[in-house]
Amino acid sequence: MNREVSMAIPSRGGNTTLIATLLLTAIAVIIPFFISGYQRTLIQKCLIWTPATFGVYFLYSLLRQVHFGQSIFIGIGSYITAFSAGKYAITNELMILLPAALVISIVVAYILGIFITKRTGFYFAVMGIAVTMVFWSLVYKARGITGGSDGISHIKNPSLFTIPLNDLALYYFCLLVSVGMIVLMLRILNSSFSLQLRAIAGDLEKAESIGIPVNRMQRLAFTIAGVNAGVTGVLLAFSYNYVSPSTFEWGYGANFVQSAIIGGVNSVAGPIVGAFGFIHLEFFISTWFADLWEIIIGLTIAIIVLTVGEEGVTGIAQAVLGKIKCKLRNQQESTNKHVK
Amino acid sequence: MVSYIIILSFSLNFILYISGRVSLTFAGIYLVGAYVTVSLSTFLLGKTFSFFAFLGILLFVSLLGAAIAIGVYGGFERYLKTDVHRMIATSSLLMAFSGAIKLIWGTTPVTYSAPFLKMGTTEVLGNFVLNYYFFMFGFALVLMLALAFFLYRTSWGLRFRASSLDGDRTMAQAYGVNQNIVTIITFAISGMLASLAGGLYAPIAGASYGIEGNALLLAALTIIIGGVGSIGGAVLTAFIIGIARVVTAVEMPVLELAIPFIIASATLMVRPFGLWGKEFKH
Repeated sequence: MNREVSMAIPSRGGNTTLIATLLLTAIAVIIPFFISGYQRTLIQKCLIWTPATFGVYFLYSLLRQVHFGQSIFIGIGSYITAFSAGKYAITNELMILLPAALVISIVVAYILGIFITKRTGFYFAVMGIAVTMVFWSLVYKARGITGGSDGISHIKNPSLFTIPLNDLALYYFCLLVSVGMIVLMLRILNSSFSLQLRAIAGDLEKAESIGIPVNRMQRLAFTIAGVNAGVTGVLLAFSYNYVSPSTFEWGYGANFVQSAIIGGVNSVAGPIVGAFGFIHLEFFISTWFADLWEIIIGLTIAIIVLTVGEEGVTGIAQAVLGKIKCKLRNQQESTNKHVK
Repeated sequence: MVSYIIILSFSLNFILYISGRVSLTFAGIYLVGAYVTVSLSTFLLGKTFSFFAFLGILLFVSLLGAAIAIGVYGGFERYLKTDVHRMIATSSLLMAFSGAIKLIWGTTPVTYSAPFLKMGTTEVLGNFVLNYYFFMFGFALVLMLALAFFLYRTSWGLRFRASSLDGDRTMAQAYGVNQNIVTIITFAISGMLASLAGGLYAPIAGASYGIEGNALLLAALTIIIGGVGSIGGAVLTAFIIGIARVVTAVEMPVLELAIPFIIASATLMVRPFGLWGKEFKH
């Protein structure tokens, strides 16, 4: 059993985090004026991926569980959007669709959480894959409702408070939502709830004996991760105007685990870096060697896990920064001695 | 269907039970097994069919699977430290496997159904049953009996069980059981089983892009229902899943893949460690 849990208590929303968040948001706000429309959609996709990656990061960094089932909730969010704004043309109002997706994700995640969080480790991960495949087969075979393998296209552009949004406005809305989700997740990561989850990851029986409701906490954590993905799903469906059952393939859910691993799971910047890194990696690989995309990404992740484990890019950056700081301090001390 | 689930699930079960390691690459080896069997049979036999040639191809495929498994283990998986790392790394590796398969064979399904069609039928209780099903079932049964004999009646089997989750790895090593060799052989057997499952099932269903998800689902759910490390449990669970799937496929095709999952969920609620499983910490 894996007991190597980092017990470092996350910083209580220090100034650096606040400044970094504000700075990044400011960059994201002005950047559409300097780049082409295609690059903007790429960044928009990164922004949309961030909440779902945060969900995986949340379960990994606190509970040490690998969550392959993130695509379930993305699919649910996407299909709700597709039904409502595409096929049955009920509404394309974001202020109705987002809460609806949230509520349905919560319900589904809670029910699934009862089964999935019964066991940990390998069984948790495998149940995630199994649920995705089950949803995939349901959507694939219920051709009359979901369109089968063709998916649902012609999803209308969204509107916010009955004002239709164009592409640029949708970009800003995605930015708003993902920044909001990130702030919310930071708040949760700094709460006593996250400490309880860390205790569960450290030792399940001990945590139970000091009075932490283990099962309920795990289910709650699973639900939080699912809600993040539900939001991602709605925005994804609107930015592509198309959904297909491939959302429910297990590889798609694994992509979020891979993004989290690229970013690193011991720093809150990890999922953001991971989502941006993964999407850009995907973009570059699929433009240069389209056929090799799965092989390259699979081997890359395998090598990353082999060499740096779960530290990812942010872990390496932290280590390098730490070394530089240490060197600078040593130099200073040695020069001080010299002066004396 | 049943025999295919038996072999496939035991491929994963064996690794988990003996070496206590998590590995998802078995699904990739399953893919390779299915594709190689189809291509090789079409290349060598064409539309004709000879029983012994097919057996030979299966033997070759199983050796290939074992070789791939040993290669992946020796070159890669032995360096991974924790279960979580193994899970993520092997799932990425599985992705690479399926990408490679897509690169070589493309996304259109390939089929070789000669053994399925040419082996004739037998009348059982008024229904005509294809002989190939009997062959598959017999094959699976012989394989499982051989494994059981190996594990429970030979001295090497004793060494395997001593280093399994039932026994104690460190203690076994202290008594002179070479853990490296045990783990390598475990991976080889698992790879063999996975590729055989692919090869045996390929004439029925053909080999198509994306079947590895299905394989992953069935094998994992069988382990969840049946528990780790019991051959009898694996066989019985395969019967349960197989029959449930066939019945739902006829009655309600929409739920065909959902039914194993529903059974697994129910099992998790009643007995979290599987119907025939014991509680293992790994």
